[in-house]
Amino acid sequence: MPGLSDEECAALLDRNRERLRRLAIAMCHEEAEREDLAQEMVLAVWRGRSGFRGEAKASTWLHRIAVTVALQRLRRRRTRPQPVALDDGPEPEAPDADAARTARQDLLRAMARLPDVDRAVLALHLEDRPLAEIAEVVGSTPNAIAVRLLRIRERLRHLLSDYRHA
Amino acid sequence: MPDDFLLDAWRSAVSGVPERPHLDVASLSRAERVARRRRLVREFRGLSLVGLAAATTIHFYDGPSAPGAWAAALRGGIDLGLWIMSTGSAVGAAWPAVLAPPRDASVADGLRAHGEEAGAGARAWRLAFWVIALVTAFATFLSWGRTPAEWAVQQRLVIVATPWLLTAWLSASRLTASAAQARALADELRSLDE
Repeated sequence: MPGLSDEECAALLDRNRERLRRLAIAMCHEEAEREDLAQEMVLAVWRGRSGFRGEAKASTWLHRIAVTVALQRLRRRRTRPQPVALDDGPEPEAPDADAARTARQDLLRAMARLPDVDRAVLALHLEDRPLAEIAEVVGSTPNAIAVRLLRIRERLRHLLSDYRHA
Repeated sequence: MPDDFLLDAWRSAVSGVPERPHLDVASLSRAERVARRRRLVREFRGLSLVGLAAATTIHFYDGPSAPGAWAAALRGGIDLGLWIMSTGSAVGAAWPAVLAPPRDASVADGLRAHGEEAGAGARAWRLAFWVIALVTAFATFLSWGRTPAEWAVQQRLVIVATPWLLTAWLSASRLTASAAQARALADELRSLDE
């Protein structure tokens, strides 16, 4: 297949925009950055539409580009001075904070402490992508991804448990 | 299927976001144009200042003493050439993408390929920098102490060379950083297999 037509690519992006938004949430802890990241992912996929060779599923191709954009953006930002992170200790809760919000904040905070590559693997896993597809996206093997996911889940369980007891 | 504790927390984390407008060809093309324009404006800002300063210097410079229309036309042509060169150098600086281009390859393979291409690009720009610097230095050496007209031409050469030297240096630096970043990420991804 010699690339995607404009219409095909727009339809693919429209179908997957929520998925890309969720990927941006998983990859980026800072709320203000997420929107930019999601937009950058969309534009990168759009720019690359002529390069789609059809050897993998379109969703795999889309995730490859989105994960590359996210990893590069995060690394690029890390090389610039960042404001001091204040999320290592327990945050003071707002008066109207409910259990769901706390759980959400805890999860995002815990995910933010994972290495970028682990976060990308986890984000794809949370999107119910099969192990083989995650491996195809990042360039690894299903077994290696399965082992890594076990470690990631274990680490998250510990972090979340720490937050709950803090 | 993801663990339940993770999935539940994740669904909660990503819920409650307002509906967004549909993505269609028109909106995507518009967004692409805007992004490209912003990037070009950003790249142009710095280097066009160099071009502006150089062209202004030349405009007010008296130049070769030969009077008449021919000399004026020559000076105008050189000024125009300078502008085109400055613009070209700005575009040249904008060209080397810092981000890996979208590819139909795994993230690790794509980054590795980008690392190699960016590394090769950086070497080419570095070579260009030294070639321009040496040619300019050699020409300066040859015209040292010659007639005012020759000296004026030499000054123009230096002014024309300056934005290109800057461009070559900046592009080499940016591509080197981009290549290092891509290689480091590819290595991180390789650690998945360990």
